[in-house]
Amino acid sequence: MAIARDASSPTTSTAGNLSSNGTTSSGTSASFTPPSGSWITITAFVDSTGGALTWSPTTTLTGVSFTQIANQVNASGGGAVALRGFVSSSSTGTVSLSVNNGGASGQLVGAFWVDVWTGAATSQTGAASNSGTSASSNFNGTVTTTATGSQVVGVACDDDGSNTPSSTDTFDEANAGSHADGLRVYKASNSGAPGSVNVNFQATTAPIWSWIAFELLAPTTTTPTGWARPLATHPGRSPGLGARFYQSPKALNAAVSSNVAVALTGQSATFTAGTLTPNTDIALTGQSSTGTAGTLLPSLAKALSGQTGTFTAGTVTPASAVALTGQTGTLSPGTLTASLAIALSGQSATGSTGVLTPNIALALNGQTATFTAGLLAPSTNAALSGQSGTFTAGLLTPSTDTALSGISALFSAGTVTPSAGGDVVVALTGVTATFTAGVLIPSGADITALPGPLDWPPDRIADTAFRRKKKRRQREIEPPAQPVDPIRVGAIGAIPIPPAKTYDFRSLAELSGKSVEAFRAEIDQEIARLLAEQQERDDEEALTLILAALDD
Amino acid sequence: MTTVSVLPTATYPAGIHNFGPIAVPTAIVSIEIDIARCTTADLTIWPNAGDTIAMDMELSMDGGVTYSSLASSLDRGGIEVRTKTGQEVPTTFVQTGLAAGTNRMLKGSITLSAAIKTSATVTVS
Repeated sequence: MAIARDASSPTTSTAGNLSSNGTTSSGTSASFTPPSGSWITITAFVDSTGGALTWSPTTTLTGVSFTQIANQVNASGGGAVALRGFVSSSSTGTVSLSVNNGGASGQLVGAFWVDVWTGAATSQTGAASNSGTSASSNFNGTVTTTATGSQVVGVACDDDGSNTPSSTDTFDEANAGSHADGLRVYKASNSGAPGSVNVNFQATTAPIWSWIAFELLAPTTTTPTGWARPLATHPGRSPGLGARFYQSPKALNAAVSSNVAVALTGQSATFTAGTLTPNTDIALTGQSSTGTAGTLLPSLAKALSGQTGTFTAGTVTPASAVALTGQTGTLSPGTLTASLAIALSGQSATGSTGVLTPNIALALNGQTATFTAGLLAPSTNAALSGQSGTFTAGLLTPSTDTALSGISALFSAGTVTPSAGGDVVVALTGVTATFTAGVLIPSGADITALPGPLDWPPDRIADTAFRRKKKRRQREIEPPAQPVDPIRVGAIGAIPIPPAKTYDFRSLAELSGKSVEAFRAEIDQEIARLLAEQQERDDEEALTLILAALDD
Repeated sequence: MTTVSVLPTATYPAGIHNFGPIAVPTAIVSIEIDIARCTTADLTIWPNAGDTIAMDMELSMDGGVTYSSLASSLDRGGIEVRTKTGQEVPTTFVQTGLAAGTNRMLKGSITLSAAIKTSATVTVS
C-alpha cells in the first residue's frame, strides 16, 4: 500500500494558526481522528528574530508523541520545523504547537499543518531529511531518499511576508499577516528507487526562505526467497547441507501479510497483499498460460485467430438475414416460412398442403392454375374473352328498356303489367303501336249500338290513327234504348249485352265466347279496316277541297 | 565557512556556464551558491527583469561516477526590495545541506537567458 495523506487530516487556515503573545507563538489544530498505524507530521513556519527556535508540540491523542525531524532558521528571522509522531491506536484529539526563541521579544505569528499519513513504515529510523535557506523566487530543495516508495514532504518559511507562495508539487500555503508566509508541500506520488527528490517552493517578490524536506519511509519490502523450501525442517539440521538453521514461521507470515516485491527481468514491481485477478484481455508476450477447467464463453463476434473451437451440443439459432461466408449450415427440422414476395434464386420451393388464394387480377405467366370447386361470381359487365361461361339456375332480370342485339329473348309465362298511367308499346309484325293504359275505345263507325254507358273518358282515345285526324269531331255515344238485343260490332257480329251495364274489353271477349287474344285480333282487324275506309273518305274530302280551292 | 568565487564579475554570454566538479571535504555539511543581483550601487549587474538566471547544483556520493540534484533555482533580474525591511536584495541564493560522505563531488551550472553581467560565489560550511 502506497503512502497517502489521510482524509482525517485537519485543515489549516490560509491566514495562519500560530498566534503570538510577544515571546511565544502557539496554536491548536482542529480535532481529528487518525487511524491506527498512521503517522502524524507537523510542519510549521514562524516569523521570529533570527535566533534559534525551540518548538514544543503536545497532543490530546492517546499514546502519540512527536519527534523533531528538522529545524531551520535564516538570518532574516524566518523559521521552519518538521516533526512526526506514530499513532499506535486510533483516538480523537487535537495537536498543539508552541515555539519561542528563548524568551526574546519579537516572536511573531506563523502557521502549522498537521498531516496524517497511512501506508508508511511503523519505524522511520533512518529516514532522510534536508534543509536550507534561499533567496530565489523559484527553487528546488532536495532530499536523498533511502528506500523505495518513500513519500517526500517539505515546508518553507518566506520571512518577507509579502507573498502568496506556491509550488509545482501538492501544497497548502498560509500568510501570517505581513510578517511571514509559507507553505507545506508533498509529492503527488511516492518515489521510486532511493535517490534525490526535489520539492519546489515559489514566491514572486524578494522571498527569504527557510526550508525543510524530509522522507517518510514506506514499509520494508522483502523478496521471499525461502518460500520454495519446506516450511518445516528439523530445527537443528538442514537436509543435505549439514548447517544448522531455523526458519521462522512468524517471519514468513509477516512477509505474506505485507507487500510483496517481485522482480521481473529488468523491472521492479511492488504488489500489496491480496488477491491476484488476471485480466483475460492481456496476454503475456512470449509466455504460455494454463487456464483452469471452466467455461469459455466465446464472443460470437470474435474469432480466435488460428485456433479451433469446440462447442458443446446445443441449438444454433441462425439469423435468416446473415450468411456464414464459405460455410455450410445444417438447420434442425422445423418450419420454413417463405415469403411470397421473395424468390429463392436457383432453388425450387415445395409448399406444404394448404390453401392457395390466387389473386384473380394476376396471371401466373406460363403456368396453369387449378381452382378448387366453389362459386364463381362473374361480373355481368365483364366477359371472359374466348371462354364460355356456365351460369347456375337463377333469375335473369332484363331491363325492359334494353334490347339484346341480334338475340331473341324468351319470356316465361306471366303477367305483363303495363305502367300505370303510362303508355304500352306492343310490337305487331312490322308495325309499332303505343297504347295508353286504360280503356280501349273502338271506332263508332262500326259500333251500331252499345249496351250501356261507357266510362271511357272522351279525352282518352288510344288509337293513334284517330289522333292524326285533323278537326276530328268527338262523337257522342248515346246510350242505346233498352233493351237492345242483340248489338252488332262491325264484323265481330252480334254480341248480346245486358242492359245498363259497363263492359271492359275482357268482359266483351267473354261475352263473344272468344279468347281475349282472338277477340283482340279481331278488334284490331276491324279497326284497321275502319281506318282504311276513313282514310279513303279523308282523301276524297281533301281532294274536293283542293279542287274547290283551285276553282276559286 | 569558506567562500570562493566561481564566476568573477563579468558579462557572460547567454548559455550554460558549468563549474566543478570539485571534491567536497568530509567536514562540509552545507553549501550555498550566491549570484549577484542588480542594486542601486551597480545598476549594470543583471538589470533586466526579462533576463533569467538558472542555477543547478549536483552532488555525487561516489567520487563523481553518478550525480543527483542537490538544489536548483530560477530567477529574474532587476532590483528587488524586501517588503518587511525595505532593503534591496544583493544576491539570489540557495543554501542546502549536504548528505554525509567521504567521496563526495560537487558540480553545477549557471544558465543565462541573455548576456548578463553578474558574479557567483560558493560558500561551504
